Amino acid sequence: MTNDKNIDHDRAELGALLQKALMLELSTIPPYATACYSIKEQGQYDRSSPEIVNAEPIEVIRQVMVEEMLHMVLVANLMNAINCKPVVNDPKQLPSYPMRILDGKGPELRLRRFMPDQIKCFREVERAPKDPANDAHRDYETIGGFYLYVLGMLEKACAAHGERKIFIGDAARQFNSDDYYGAGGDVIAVHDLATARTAIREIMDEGEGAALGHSACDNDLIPAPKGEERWDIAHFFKFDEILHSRYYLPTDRLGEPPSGSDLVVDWTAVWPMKDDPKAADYASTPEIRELSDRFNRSYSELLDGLNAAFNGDKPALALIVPVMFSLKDQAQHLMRVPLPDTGYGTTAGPLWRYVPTTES
Amino acid sequence: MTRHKTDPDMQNDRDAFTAISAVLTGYSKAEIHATGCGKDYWHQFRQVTPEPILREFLSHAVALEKTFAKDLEAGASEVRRIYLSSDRLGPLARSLIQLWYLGQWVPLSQDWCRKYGVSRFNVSKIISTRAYKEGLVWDAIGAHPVGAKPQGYGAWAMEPPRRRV
Amino acid sequence: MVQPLEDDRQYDVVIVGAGIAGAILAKQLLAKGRTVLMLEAGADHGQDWQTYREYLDKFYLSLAKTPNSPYPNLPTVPSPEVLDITPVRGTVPDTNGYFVQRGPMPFGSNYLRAYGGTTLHWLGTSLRMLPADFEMASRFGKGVDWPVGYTELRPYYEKAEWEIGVSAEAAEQTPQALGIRTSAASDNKAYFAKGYDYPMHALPTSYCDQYFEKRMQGLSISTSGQRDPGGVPEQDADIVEPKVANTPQGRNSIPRVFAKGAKIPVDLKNTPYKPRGATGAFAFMGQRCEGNTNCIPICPVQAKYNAMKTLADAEALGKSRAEKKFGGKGFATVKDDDIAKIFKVQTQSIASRVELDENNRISSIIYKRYAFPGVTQYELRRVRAKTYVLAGGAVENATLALASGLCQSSQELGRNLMDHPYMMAWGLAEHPIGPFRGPQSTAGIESFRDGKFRDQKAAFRLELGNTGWDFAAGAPYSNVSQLVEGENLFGPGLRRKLYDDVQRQVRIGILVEQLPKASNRVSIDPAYRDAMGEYRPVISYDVDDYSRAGLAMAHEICMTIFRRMGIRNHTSYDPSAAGYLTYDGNGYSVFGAGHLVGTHRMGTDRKTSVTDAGMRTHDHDNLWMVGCGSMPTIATSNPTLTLAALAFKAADAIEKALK
Repeated sequence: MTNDKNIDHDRAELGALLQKALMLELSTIPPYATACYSIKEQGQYDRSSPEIVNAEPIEVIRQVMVEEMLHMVLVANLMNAINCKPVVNDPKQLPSYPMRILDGKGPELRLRRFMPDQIKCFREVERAPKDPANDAHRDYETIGGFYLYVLGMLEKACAAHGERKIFIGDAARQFNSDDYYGAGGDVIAVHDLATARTAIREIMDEGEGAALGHSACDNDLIPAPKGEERWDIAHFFKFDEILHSRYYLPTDRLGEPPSGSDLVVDWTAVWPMKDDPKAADYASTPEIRELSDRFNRSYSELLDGLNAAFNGDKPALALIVPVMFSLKDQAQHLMRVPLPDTGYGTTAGPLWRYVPTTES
Repeated sequence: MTRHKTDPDMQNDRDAFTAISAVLTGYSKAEIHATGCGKDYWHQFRQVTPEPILREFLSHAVALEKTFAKDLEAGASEVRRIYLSSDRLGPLARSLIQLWYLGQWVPLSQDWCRKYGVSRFNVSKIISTRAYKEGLVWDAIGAHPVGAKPQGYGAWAMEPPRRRV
Repeated sequence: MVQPLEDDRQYDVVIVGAGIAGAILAKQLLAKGRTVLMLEAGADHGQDWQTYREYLDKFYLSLAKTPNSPYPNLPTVPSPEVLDITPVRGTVPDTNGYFVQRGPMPFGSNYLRAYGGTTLHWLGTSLRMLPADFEMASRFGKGVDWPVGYTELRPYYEKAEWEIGVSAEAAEQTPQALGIRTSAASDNKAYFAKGYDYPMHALPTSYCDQYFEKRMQGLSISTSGQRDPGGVPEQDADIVEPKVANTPQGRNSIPRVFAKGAKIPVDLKNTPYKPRGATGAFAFMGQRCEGNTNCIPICPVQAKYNAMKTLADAEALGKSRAEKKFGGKGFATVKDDDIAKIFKVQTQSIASRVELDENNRISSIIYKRYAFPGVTQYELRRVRAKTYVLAGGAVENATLALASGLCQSSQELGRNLMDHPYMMAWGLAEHPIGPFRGPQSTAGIESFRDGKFRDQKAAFRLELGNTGWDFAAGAPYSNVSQLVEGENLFGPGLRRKLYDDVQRQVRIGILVEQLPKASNRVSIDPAYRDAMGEYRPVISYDVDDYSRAGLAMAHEICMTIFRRMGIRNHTSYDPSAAGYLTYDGNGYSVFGAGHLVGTHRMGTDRKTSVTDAGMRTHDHDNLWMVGCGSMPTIATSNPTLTLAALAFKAADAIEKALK
């Protein structure tokens, strides 16, 4: 009995940690997306000579976002594998910006347009732990450290109670590549410690880079003709390559500048979105508020759909694909609307607020 | 933006242009701004419209907004009286509506040009790649501009969106 | 004539044309260890993301968004353009566009002369032919039989489906599943090899397709000529219950996960299939269709297959072979010039003449290399190889061969030009059906692609459109213009009416087969040349009564479907349209489907065909002609998949001959 009680306690503790991981992954998406969507698309801002710039940073950030969504699915798989309930639409847990991640120990996330400071901030978010051995303890300061800690706790629980007693989740809730197919890494169904390790390792590799962040490579193959395949680059290095205007090669190491080809960035071809927009900014303009509310409703629909998908209703994941795409268009629309209160100098932006749906 | 600050009239003209565009298209001013095409369209519109007619076209903006705020029917009637039935302003209004809906300038007739003024910018063209993508027609029909702003894998299998107006 | 400069390098194979046929041939032959040179008339564009984006921007800014609108139309390499199609009046040929049209009907199809070829703007429909399609003469006394049967081509279809990356479920694509009353019962056996399946799952059918499926239930149609079977189920093989079937498409969906140890009769190393999106640096783009609703003219993310993907494979193969052969140890990279010894795609090079030696073998190809796209100055060059392949499409292959005086013994070269006369039926549904979303077609009614009626009238397929009346009536642009200019609408009233009108638009495309006719032909005439001095294709074309009878039946069936579904018919055919024709007192309008077939058909008899079943010309034993032109009959399936299968077959034959 005491053992049962212990295992329940350990499971709850693991569940709470993984729930935190889920929120952590989610919290990066609005800032990344906001920055990405604030970039004017190539060719659209100068009708006399369509310049093809900024297509590259858009694509680089887009790839990061796609993988962050994959990470959410992986964390949900981890939670479901140990019979814990992933929650994605609890307003109390959802991020609100500005915020410091990792209980205030990590870097600050804000909703800002595409600018060097914001990309530097993203780079910090994806930075590998300096001292993994130290970070694996409860006082982690990086996402990598946090995941090392989670993995350590999982291993401890398995050692104490046996793998079989820990991985008791319903296998039908696991997502595999037949249920979720995007780009970037693979979806890993989790059913034991080994697959759990693989999933956590994938999250870490894609974020901070292989070899605990010492290599730019993220261990995902870029689709290419046979013989031409090369490894993709981890998020930390992707943000760094935007700042350097130069691509990394997978063989590049931490601390060295990127050695690949040039990447063209135009920091000025960006909509002047107000930093960290608030609902109050739109209070005096009902028309803008309506656009903003529409965005928030779509965002909430996305979270509700994710929540359903992670809790047994797998087909819900396919249904929210169009919602994700529409968020981009809606965010871009908001970012083009000048704010009268600021003398038209800045524009509105998406708030990323969850509003519980009363009806569906 | 900075240019506007030094030229208050310019800002007022743009505001009037936006207000009339909203009334003619049936979209809110925020939605008109949200296309990101206002500046280019204003530019095109000014290039093809002789100054006195431009003044006349814009002069009704404030009154029109007030009427609409009180009574939609009366507002619609005013649009028909001032713009649609006018020999002078009607063709301009119809081209402007199509500009917002299609992102392309539908040239004013030769007749109109003979009477009111010729502009070498009065030619059929898509204003910009963004203009194509932001054509209001795609939203109005519950779809997306073909070749841009995709809706995601499988969206086509789902029930179409309901009409919003 | 200026003396051509001699290329100093000799290859095993020279391929004319970097489209899908040439790309597959190059990839296959390189894998077998051969050296390959490709001559492509178009300029080198598209493969990197920058130039592909330029295509896309050109599409956005084109007022007429025709299939060729995104792509360069250079005076050095003109392509046919649908806007140039006008009625041919009297005996004076119509010379508006690149084609010289002799009529009596204008030939309405186009293609693209560019790196990647017409796959840049194809729809992606990847249907196999039916067994009966290979035996038109022996089964129905119409046209000719193929020198190969379905069973022989089947393994090549599999290769083609895996090369293109086709999304479909085999179980849903058998003749039986498609609701076809096949002309022979055995046609239903082993249509797919045991255990075979497509590399990716079927794409979802559109909401509109589902609407058709639901509302057509219980419909049965007689193909025997009796107009109304009266709902009484006759014991009659002519009664067809039409089925709405998901269309196999060359665009990325969700890769199939095969059971461990499953025997896939194709490239085992490639399982599970890895979808390939955009060529060039943005490789994560387009690994899955995003629903851009723009397969024709340009898929923005390249989720739809184009031949640039296969060409990239070929280039990678050439490079890795060069590395093995010439590369030093370690990090030493191989020189471009060394790669070019194994494989080279030479763009801006227009094959002008194929030269013969005294043994009637090909001795060389003369080509014109222009330095600047669009500037008609060129250098005349001569290239030699062991084997030569013409893979420039049915029309270009024919003009080049005719200009060179090749393949004279059959008199069939350039003849038997076929297309799918494409007719539309359109109407308004009772409910919103969600048009202008998703791939332009995701389903069709394939049930009339074979049947006993084929001894009297042409078979056809019905393609369900996902883009309202765009091809039919220029929607939604025409709706805006009509409501604003004609109905004096503005504001919310305009928005409401636009939604109500466009949301209910449905359209069926009818693709009817044509028989091979000697008088439907591509020829050349010294009076008609392009800016580079090359022969322009001179085309004589008509649609015979066999096809017209099929069109008439198809039209009637569409009307029956509309009646069953409660769709208000809006179909109207304009007598002044270029493709207007009549049959049995009724008028119809047809367009080209872009399916150019038949100008150098295969066959067993050198008197009635241009090439043998391996696509080697009967007259010149080191010359192959490969592509849609090889097809003796057109069948009812969109021909690209079959052409790809034929390219694999030809590659085998060429490799065998080279040994």
